[in-house]
Amino acid sequence: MRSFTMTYFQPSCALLACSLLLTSCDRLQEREAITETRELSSHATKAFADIPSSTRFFDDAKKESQQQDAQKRPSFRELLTWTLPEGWSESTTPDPMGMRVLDLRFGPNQEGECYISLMPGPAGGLEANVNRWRTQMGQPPYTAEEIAKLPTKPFFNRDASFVAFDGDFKGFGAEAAKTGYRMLGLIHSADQATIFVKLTGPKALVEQNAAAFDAFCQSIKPNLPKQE
Amino acid sequence: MSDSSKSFPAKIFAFFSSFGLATSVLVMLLVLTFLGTLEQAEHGLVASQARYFESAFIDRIDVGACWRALGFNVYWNIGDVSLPLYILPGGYTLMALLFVNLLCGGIVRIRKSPKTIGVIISHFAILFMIAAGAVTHHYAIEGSLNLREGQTGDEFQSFHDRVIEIEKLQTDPKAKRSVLVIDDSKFRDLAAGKGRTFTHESLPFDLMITGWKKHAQPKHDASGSRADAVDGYFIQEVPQLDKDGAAMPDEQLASACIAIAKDKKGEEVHNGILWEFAAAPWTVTVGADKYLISLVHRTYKLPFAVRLDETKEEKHPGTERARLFSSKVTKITGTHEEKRYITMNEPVRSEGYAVFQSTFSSGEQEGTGVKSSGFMIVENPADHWPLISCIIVAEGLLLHFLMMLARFIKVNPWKFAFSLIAAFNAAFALAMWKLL
Repeated sequence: MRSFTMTYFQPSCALLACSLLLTSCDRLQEREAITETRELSSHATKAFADIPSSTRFFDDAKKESQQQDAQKRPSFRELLTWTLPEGWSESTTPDPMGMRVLDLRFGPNQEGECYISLMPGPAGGLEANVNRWRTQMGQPPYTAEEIAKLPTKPFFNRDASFVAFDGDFKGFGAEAAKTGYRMLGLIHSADQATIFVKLTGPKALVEQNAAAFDAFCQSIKPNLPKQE
Repeated sequence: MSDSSKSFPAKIFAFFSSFGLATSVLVMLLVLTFLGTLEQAEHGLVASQARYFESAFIDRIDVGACWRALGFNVYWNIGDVSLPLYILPGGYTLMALLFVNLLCGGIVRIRKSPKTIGVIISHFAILFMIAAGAVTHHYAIEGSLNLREGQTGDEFQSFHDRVIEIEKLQTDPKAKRSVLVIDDSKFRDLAAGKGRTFTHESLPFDLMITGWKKHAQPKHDASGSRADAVDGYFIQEVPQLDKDGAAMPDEQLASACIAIAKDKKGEEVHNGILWEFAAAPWTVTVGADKYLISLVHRTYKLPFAVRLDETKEEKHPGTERARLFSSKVTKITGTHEEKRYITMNEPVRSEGYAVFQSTFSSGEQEGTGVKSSGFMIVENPADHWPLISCIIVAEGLLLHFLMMLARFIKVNPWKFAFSLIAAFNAAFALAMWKLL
């Protein structure tokens, strides 16, 4: 009589071997339906398409070569032209963040400040940037509806959102807020880049220079290469 | 009645209500805590928790890691030794056994008399605490929400759960956006040589995932010789230990995998690398449509939005050490806005969610100059249950000890115990009122 082991062991081994073989055959053949979906919030950041792998993976080697290329390319400052309003001059001290393409001062004690900054991509979007400025002026943030109702002004051949706030201005890194200030600003946000023009100063001084601000903004143009 | 004369159910009940079982479970919990704490040094908190405290059975014990954590390798290096086990019960099984044991022994079997009422109350509270642990384990979710000043958010990302999301890029910027979601339990077993194809009727392609690695970084294939390179990059597995040899926290690990999108018409095949830390999703273009595919942490929706109005960091006087991070936020529910203040130990609690301040950034490192806050968000239906059970345990034990004391000094135990408990509770309430 065959033993229990002999009776069941060999068929079991064969079955196990077959199942392993079938499993290995199925290692790339499994299919599964996607059943879960999710709605994105209206506050979700916009996703960008067709970003190259080197950018997606923060490839340093590629970045270095891009930096070398950048050195060959003109700086942001060289990409723009503008006309300085009368009485305005460039600041002699570098800005602490190094973000300003052009940094201007005006007023009897140079207390008025106006600068252009340029950032790649949407830079957090219009709402975040306007509300950041509102916070700097000690004002409550705007709602999405208020942001949508902001007036626009022609700028850089497009429409830019225009803001004007009164309040106590506390810029980045400042210890205390400066009271009785006014802020004027233009933000043009696009997928490729966002350009900011921001003016701050004592309210009376800013009101005197409001027309100069508009004229300055209108004078900012792309520095297109001259046709030969 | 002798043990042998008991019926089978009575024997089962006697076993589950025995002191022997209670002692064994508590000793095993002690051993698990010891081993889990040692293994944590090399395997990280999340992996140790999963293996020792959240599992039904322990799949293996890394003796080598425990040995090194004890510092014994200085005398004798045993190398990588592990015990493959499926016999030792894990924390989940032990807590379930302790629950049954306490229910049978500490509630049903215990002698019911005025002398034991305090102990029974405490046993009830411990059962409640174990139940709180089970509810937390099964239903609690936690994650993070990062906001810059002026920014509003109503979604948070899980610390540990990963998903692959597929979004069809909308041409209309006002259109509602939605994504297809694949949970990581469906692809984290797909190491090299194993793949699984995911399908959906709305997609013009099938998506195969393969070559998943838990912690990896895409590397440029400079020589162009690698067969596994995709768009000039290959997935390089990187160690999960930091420079000091300690396991990196799970949330700092960046998994990666190969994704292959096969056109359903069989015309085109697109290959890409999905990486958790990627700056942007991988784009698949089919005809005029673009699909964004990314490997990200699972996103959960909040029932309200949070806008960061102002955030600040306070430092210890004369030092650069942070003392306090705090944020002024607006909680937005529909059109209703409510100003709230969050600090590290003072969360905002609402609708079952607790929002804690966890990180702060001045924006200097990022070069933006825009301050931002990181909030930890916890949704736990059993959020306050451990506190409630601790208070009940304390009240029960206080009642028990005071009644014992009353009998010893020969006064009326009920009057003595209840009057003193009332006095203690009044003093506690007064102290809390003054403190808060």
